[in-house]
Amino acid sequence: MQAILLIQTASPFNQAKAREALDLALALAAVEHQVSVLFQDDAVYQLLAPDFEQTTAPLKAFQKSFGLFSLYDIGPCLVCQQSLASRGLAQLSLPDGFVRADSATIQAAMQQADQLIRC
Amino acid sequence: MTTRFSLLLQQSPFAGQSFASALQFARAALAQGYLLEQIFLYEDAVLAVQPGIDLPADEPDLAAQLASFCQQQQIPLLYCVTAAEKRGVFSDINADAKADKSANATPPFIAAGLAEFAMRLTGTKVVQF
Repeated sequence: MQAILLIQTASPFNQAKAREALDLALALAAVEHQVSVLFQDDAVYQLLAPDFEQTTAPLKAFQKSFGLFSLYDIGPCLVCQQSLASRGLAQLSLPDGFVRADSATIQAAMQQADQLIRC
Repeated sequence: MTTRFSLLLQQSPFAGQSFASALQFARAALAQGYLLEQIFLYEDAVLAVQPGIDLPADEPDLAAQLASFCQQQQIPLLYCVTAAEKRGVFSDINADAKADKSANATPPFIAAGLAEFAMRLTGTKVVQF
């Protein structure tokens, strides 16, 4: 078992990066790695989940699977405060279990991890 | 204990330099006496598995170079089946591909899941390209 920090950097529908990073996080956690996640840069847009139930958006609302993180013992789920602020999203309400992280917190999370995987 | 590496490739073999960098890294690591536990193709890197890639003569076929390097050095070269199927890249566990041998992924590409990558990860250092 290893402590793995998965760093998400892509916006939700920028190619398949966000979705495939999510699959990777779940797979790593499923084989007993201790996975934590950091949403950085444009990845914070993933947390702006549009209301797919109400619209006819033709894209898969993969963000619903963030709800599985607690089931898979994935955490902490950090959201880069700086990335939010620079995109005008400082006030965004985050999904359950997600926390804002300043640069010191992010640095500490990186130091604690055995592996960093950037997606 | 000798350091073992897991290499994770995520870019298309012909749309970036990731395969070239990974090959250089892998050769250097072996030359220095390190071990490679796995090379895993994910995201667009699974396009390397597609048979029938026909590049212009003056372009290096990095996917083929990586494949033959892994075969020579007996390094497991795995690819994510799910990522491959999403891109229409046939894998050898695909029933349609079985019917048409020419569509099979040629060895040494090994069809695997993310779970296999995750299991082989233990005790290795991940390097991404």
